[in-house]
Amino acid sequence: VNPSEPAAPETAVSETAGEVQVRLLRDIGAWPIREGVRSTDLTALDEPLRSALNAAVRQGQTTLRVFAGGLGLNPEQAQSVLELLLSRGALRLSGAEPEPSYQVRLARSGRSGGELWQRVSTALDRRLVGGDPDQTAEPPPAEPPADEHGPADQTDDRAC
Amino acid sequence: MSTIISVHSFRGGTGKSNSTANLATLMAARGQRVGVIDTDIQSPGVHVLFKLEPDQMQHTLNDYLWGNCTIEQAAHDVTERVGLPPGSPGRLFLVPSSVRSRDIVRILREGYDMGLLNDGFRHLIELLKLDVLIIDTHPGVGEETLLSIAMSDVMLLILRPDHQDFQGTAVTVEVARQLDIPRMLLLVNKTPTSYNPDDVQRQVERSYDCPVAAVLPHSDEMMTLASGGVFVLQYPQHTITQSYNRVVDQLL
Repeated sequence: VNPSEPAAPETAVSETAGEVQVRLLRDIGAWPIREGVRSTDLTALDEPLRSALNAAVRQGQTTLRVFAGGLGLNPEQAQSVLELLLSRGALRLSGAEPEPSYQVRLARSGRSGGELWQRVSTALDRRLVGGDPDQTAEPPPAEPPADEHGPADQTDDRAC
Repeated sequence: MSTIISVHSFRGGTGKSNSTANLATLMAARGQRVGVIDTDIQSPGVHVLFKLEPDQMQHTLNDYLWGNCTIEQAAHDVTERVGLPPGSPGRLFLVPSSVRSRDIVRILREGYDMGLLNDGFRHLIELLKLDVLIIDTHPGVGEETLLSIAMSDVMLLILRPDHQDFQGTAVTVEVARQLDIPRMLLLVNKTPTSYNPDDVQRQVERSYDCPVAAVLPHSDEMMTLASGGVFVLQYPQHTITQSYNRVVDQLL
């Protein structure tokens, strides 16, 4: 135990900062990051990484010094964690002056699976051909077919 | 120092957009520079309360997320439109989401860059010199909504005294805590007038271990207004307006 190491915040057992650093590097290496950080990551990661990343999202960006403080590491220890997060695509460099700053790289919002929305989109385009492209809603059919009970939009959805 | 407030509910129909519009209007009436951003991209609606018609939206949040405009180009000054007196020191800006069916479907189909949304929040605050940015979110605990909460300083969580709301709200409160939201307030809306509001407040606060900003009664006047305007300007002496003012006291 190195008494000069800062104490890591909110860890379940009393880990030294060096032990926290090793654990973080191991955890980040095993973290299945896909296209950036998701909100589920921000709730599910172990401390102190969860809190540090949440703070970075809420503040908009972070610096090595602030990030190190959040992790309870000294800047040298935090540098290796930060570099691993950069290489894994969880952080990105967002500025250089007066010191490098970093943003959490957020994943795109989820795309709906399957072809449903592509087909709905195609159906809407087909219906709007020749119409006002800025119209906000399609007019209902003058008279619904005998076997239809819902509005026109539902007809498209069922057709998918 | 500006504040980002997300107005959220677990279920739809709680009065989220109505509360957003009323609180934003009261803040602007007090001289604050307020931005409202409609991140309920799947089912936008708050623009109706601000009397912004779809054909008056030169740009929307969708356009910004698709790289077709800057975030400030998507911001509409609705101060006078909503009925605040001309020349008042406060300003009210709205970034609406598109109500065009094709735009909504495109968002559902393609998703969008959440990082760009976060950047947009920051740029909007800076460029419009906002004191407060209010995010009107999509109900539930979806990925996009949770990230909006993660970006906020305060979450105002709206619920009705209804068993379905109670259970879902418990989930939302817990998730918000996991996201380290610095401050969380509950707003109980559409409470039957036969209920004792003090009892409701005590019960809700005990259930969630979270302060209740106000208990608003069901109101026929609100129902009759039917989102045709901002309630607090139409009924400045109403008890609901007084309650909204107390919520603003707690938020500012």
